[in-house]
Amino acid sequence: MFKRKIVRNKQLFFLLSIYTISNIFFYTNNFYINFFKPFCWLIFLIIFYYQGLKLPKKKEVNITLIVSIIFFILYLASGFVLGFNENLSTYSLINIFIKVWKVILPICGIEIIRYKLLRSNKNYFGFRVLVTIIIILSEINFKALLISHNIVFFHYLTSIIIPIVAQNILYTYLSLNSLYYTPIIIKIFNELPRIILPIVPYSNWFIEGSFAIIKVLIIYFLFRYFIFSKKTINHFTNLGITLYPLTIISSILLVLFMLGLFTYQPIAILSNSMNPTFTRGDVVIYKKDENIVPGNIIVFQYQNQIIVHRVVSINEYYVTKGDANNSVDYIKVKKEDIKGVYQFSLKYLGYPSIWLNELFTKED
Amino acid sequence: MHKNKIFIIIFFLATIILMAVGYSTFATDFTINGVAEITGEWDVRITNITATQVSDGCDAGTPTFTKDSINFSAKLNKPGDEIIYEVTIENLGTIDAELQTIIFTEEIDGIEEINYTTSELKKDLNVGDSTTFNIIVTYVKNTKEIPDVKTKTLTGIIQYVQKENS
Repeated sequence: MFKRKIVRNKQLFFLLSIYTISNIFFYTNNFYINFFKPFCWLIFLIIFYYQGLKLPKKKEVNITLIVSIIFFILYLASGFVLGFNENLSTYSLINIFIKVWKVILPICGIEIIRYKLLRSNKNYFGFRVLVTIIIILSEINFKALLISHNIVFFHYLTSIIIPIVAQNILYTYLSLNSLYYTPIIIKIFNELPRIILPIVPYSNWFIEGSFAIIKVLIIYFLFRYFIFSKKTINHFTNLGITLYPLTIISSILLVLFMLGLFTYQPIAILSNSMNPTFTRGDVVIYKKDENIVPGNIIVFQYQNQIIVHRVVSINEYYVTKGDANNSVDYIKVKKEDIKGVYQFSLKYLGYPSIWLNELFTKED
Repeated sequence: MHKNKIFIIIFFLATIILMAVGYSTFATDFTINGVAEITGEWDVRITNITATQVSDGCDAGTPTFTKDSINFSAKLNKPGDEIIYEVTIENLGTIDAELQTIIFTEEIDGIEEINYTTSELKKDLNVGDSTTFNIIVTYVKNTKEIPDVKTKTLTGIIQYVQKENS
């Protein structure tokens, strides 16, 4: 009796659309998030279960689990480099249960719907795109898009929305080539640190956004070339398999470089205060160095800003001055404020930063 | 289809680069807009010097000034004589300023018979404000001998900088 199709594909599409619209309107509503949404998904999961679900291929589940566990370990290990923060959610068993209720149930429900809808119209590209877009819309907090400050909007766009888009394209790809278990496992492992860990590695918008996208690219690469590929790949002649890891590694190195995890770090120059040594639009490369003498150009933190000026004398504090300025800075630079010493500059590479800065600070 | 995939991958890589640029941009906001920058917005200057009090028989000369220096030549006649110069400093720029340094140094080997004293300066000098300070040149009263060398120079540095919260 239960094996017949209780929920058909058209109804599934309708259900998905209703879910997305509800999310748009009630994204931050406590009753909706904590009770109504998970409860509805629970009911639908029970129906799906009795309707009969395909069992996954063992190999794919195993590989997905291994990949997810490796990412989980790497995420934890990043805390030893970046530092740890307390998990803001109160850490207790009851909270773990609440999070499982609130997070895991919708994940399972939405991925089963995605899988069923995509499989029902496997060869129709436009339908795949439509389903993916609807699911993306269901995951975006539209209220946050009304943020008035441009820079915060930029952070939200690049660290939340674009990773959501990337992840959903990946999940659609995985659903089409595998079963719903694969994206479910990956999604649950994405959420797992926030659910079960009392402390989590330090993060900011840049770390979260860039690594979310890099993770998507890595998972795509592994599945595309090692799991879904039916052909034996000649590792030396296939261009994709050679270029793709290089691109991913370059992206990782770029992010680590920007985060200052290497001895050398870049910074874009937005003013002409050090003209002619370097000017607006240049990128300065500086090095962490503790032996600073007058004449060195130092990069130091002042409140929320970073300044690159020359040390003119050292007493209790470091007295600094821009080469183009006619008096010393009023800032008392302490040793702990210094981030590094100027090594060399690269012409014009900082202009994208200037344009972005002008674009996003125009109204400030 | 293959082209679509490449396009999508390039889009996400471009996003990472954009984020890197953004990360660099918003962490790098220079704060040079008040550190006596040469843009002209900073304009704290000396605008006047006059001799406000001159003892009888003394000559205050014609004190001169540029925007960042003053020059006077005081001729004192007898012990107890005194000339007071009043110097005006104005903030004609667009940035609030505050006094950072005030150092007056008398000539190291100068004669003891001439004494300089200076009055206090106003600490805050907001946009449009002006302040005055006095330089008092005195022929010390209890001098018993007339010295061979009869001059003594005074060197001073007054430095206003951008107010921290402006």
